[in-house]
Amino acid sequence: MAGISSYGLHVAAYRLPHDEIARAWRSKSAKGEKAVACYDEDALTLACAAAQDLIAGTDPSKFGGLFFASTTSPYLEKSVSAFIAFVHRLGAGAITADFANSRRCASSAVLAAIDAVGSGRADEVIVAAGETRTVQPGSSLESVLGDGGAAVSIGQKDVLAEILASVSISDETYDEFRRSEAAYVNEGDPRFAASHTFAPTVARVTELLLEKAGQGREGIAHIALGAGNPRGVKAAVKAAGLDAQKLVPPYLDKVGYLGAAQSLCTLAQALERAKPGEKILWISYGDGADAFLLEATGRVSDLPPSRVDAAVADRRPLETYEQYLKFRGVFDNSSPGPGETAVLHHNEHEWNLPLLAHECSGCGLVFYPPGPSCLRCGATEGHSRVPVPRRGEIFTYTTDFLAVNPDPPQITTVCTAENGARLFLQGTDFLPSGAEVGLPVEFQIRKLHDGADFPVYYWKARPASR
Amino acid sequence: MAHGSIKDKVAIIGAGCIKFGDNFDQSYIDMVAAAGRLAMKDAGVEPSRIEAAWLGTYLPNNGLGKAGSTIADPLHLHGIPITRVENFCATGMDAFRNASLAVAAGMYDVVLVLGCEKMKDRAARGIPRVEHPSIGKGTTAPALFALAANRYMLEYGMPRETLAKVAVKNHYNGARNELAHMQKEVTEEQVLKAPMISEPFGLFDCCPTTDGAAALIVCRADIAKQFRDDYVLVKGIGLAAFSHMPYYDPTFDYLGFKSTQTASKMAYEQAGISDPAREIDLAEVHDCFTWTEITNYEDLGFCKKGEGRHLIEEGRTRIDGDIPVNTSGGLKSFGHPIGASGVRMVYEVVSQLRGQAGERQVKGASLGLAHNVGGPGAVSCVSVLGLP
Repeated sequence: MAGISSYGLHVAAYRLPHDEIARAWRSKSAKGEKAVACYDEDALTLACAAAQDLIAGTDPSKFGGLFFASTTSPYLEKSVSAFIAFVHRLGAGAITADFANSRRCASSAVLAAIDAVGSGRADEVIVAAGETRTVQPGSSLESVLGDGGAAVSIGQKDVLAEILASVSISDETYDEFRRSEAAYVNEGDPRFAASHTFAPTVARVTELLLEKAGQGREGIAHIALGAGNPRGVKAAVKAAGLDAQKLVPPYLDKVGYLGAAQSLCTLAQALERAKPGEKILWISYGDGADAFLLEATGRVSDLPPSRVDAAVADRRPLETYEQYLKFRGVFDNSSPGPGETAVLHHNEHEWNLPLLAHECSGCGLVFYPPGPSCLRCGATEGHSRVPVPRRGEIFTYTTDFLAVNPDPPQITTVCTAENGARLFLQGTDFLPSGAEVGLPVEFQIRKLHDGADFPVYYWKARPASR
Repeated sequence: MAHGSIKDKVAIIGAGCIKFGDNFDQSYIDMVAAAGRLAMKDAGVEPSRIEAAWLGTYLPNNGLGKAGSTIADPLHLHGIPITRVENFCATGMDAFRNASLAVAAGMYDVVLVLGCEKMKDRAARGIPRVEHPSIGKGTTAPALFALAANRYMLEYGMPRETLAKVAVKNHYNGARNELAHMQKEVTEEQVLKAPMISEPFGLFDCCPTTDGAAALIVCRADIAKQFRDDYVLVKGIGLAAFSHMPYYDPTFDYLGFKSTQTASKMAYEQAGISDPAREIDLAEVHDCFTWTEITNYEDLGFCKKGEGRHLIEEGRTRIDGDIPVNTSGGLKSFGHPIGASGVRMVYEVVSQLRGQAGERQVKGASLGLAHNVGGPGAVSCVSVLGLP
């Protein structure tokens, strides 16, 4: 039986206080803050980082597929799942597909992953969601929407929770939507949505699922239902005949509602709270709903202390609304200089996206970029391509006020990876005085610049999280 | 492997340099013409006497300086070989090196070396970045050297105050040089309080962005006397290239530049120098940033690794010190139009050896050195020049 094998998270580290939004718009503040993508993050990088967190410490070739889910993909035409699978070196022939256009798209991808695993097409499939939704500035939803990524993997062996049943219903309605040419989500009338689309849909999908599974409501230990409107969630759960006390508490006042990534994040929270044998009702809403009944296995007791809590706690203050606007690209000062070309990308992406170094056949030196000759002994034949670990430490750095950067000063680093490779990398997510020689760092794919014809994604160094 | 020596085979018989600075009223062509004519006039030669020429320009602007032929019309050099040289910050001196080698090989009797760079026709952030779009993205010139400076300063416990003393010295010298870009003295306090550019470099730790051009007339040593008595001989030239992107090299310790150590060893061997600090009377070294001058002291063998700070702290590299460095004001104060710099440094050494340096004159100077480093550390060029 298919189940949830593992999960990973990357919540954008910057936090914009609701007070600051209220100051900018002279409105009333609801206490709290929301996660904001750094200027170099987008749905692709957030999902990529969440998948990296999921894969860390395992052999990436065991994954037979990766699905990307987002309503804010940086591309309308180009596969983000293919990019993430390439960066993380998934198995050859891994299936990839992008799911989009609904806040429910991550759970739709999970349904597809269950089918892929069930049919034997793949042993284990990752679903990685990333989201950076933006609403009309100054509108009520602005303080609610947060940026983040979450990932789960669906497999058959050694799962954290078995998926006992799943159902899906679709609905044709206008609550939140965004037209393809629009920059902002249209939030519609939240009260109408809560009472006339959200609550009835949750009630209906719950009924269908429990009937299919032959499961009574009293046996549900945890309800994972992530949405941006906590009052609406409680009302909907009540309408479905469920006990609102069983709801996994969301982090709305700490990171906000993460769009397509929210349902995966809430599921991860439920897995962290569940005891072996407990049942989880997981509902993902958007243009209908997907619902899943899961049962935690003994493996949940081996989970380390909450990684969701750690991701939420990994925060840097975003001091002003102006800084938020810069991060959203409202003031464009993208870095000048040459862009990448399709052929250069073709020549180099095999090593510069998965971050592969050469280990010298003669003297064992690990050097990057993986050029033909060893930097130390000059051997030219038989080097092995080795992955550069995603962690290391700062060898030297500078705080550069001259470099064009949306959030100056730019921290520029030279890092030594755990396998000895030396990397020149821009820093990101650093506090202005946060770098020091010897500081542990992790490497993440970020959007380096917008380039000429296409954005250039590459690695940056950030202070190590866990 | 052959280790030839250029010692006493080539002479410099003419040198010219225009005023460096914000030369907004001069085009690239104007500067080429002015510097070239100054050098020819100094040597007493006409364009028709020039048999070959080398042009040093790092970054062509608006197509000017891309090919050697850029200087053919303004200097009326038609029908001779003209070659453009580009080698990072060693561009100008490598043009001089190539010209010297051609003369030493017996191919030509009299040749021209010209370095020119028009930098003040771009946005306000220094050298435009032409780096690799991913693995080299985010570099700035100060940041690349700051990466090394920070590691060095941590290793040797050197404070920013020591860096500031380099700026104070070189501005002092530049204030006495009518061709320098910055002709103003600065205090240590001003240097330390200046706006930060790339830590540990504040504004006064960085060389300015400058327009300029300089030129040399080089000939066979055995015919130099036909042109003038106070000619200057090339005693040795070395150039060494290392990793193009040293910040990826796991063997790089960031405590100095192998390229300078190696290039200077080549030049010293040819010149027969065993104790450079004692034998060399003055040196023009590549002080693109204050820290660079300190590591240069060590890499050029003026002192041991890690002890460079004592030379500046004890005033030994002032004009009246025992090893005067950057009497011209250096890149720091004279300016650093990249392709022009190496040629300009040779010009300063020639002026000093001829005794024409005015109040900056190092008394009794007979052996001088000029040095560039670029990359940082990817390439260095060292020239030793002396009186006959």
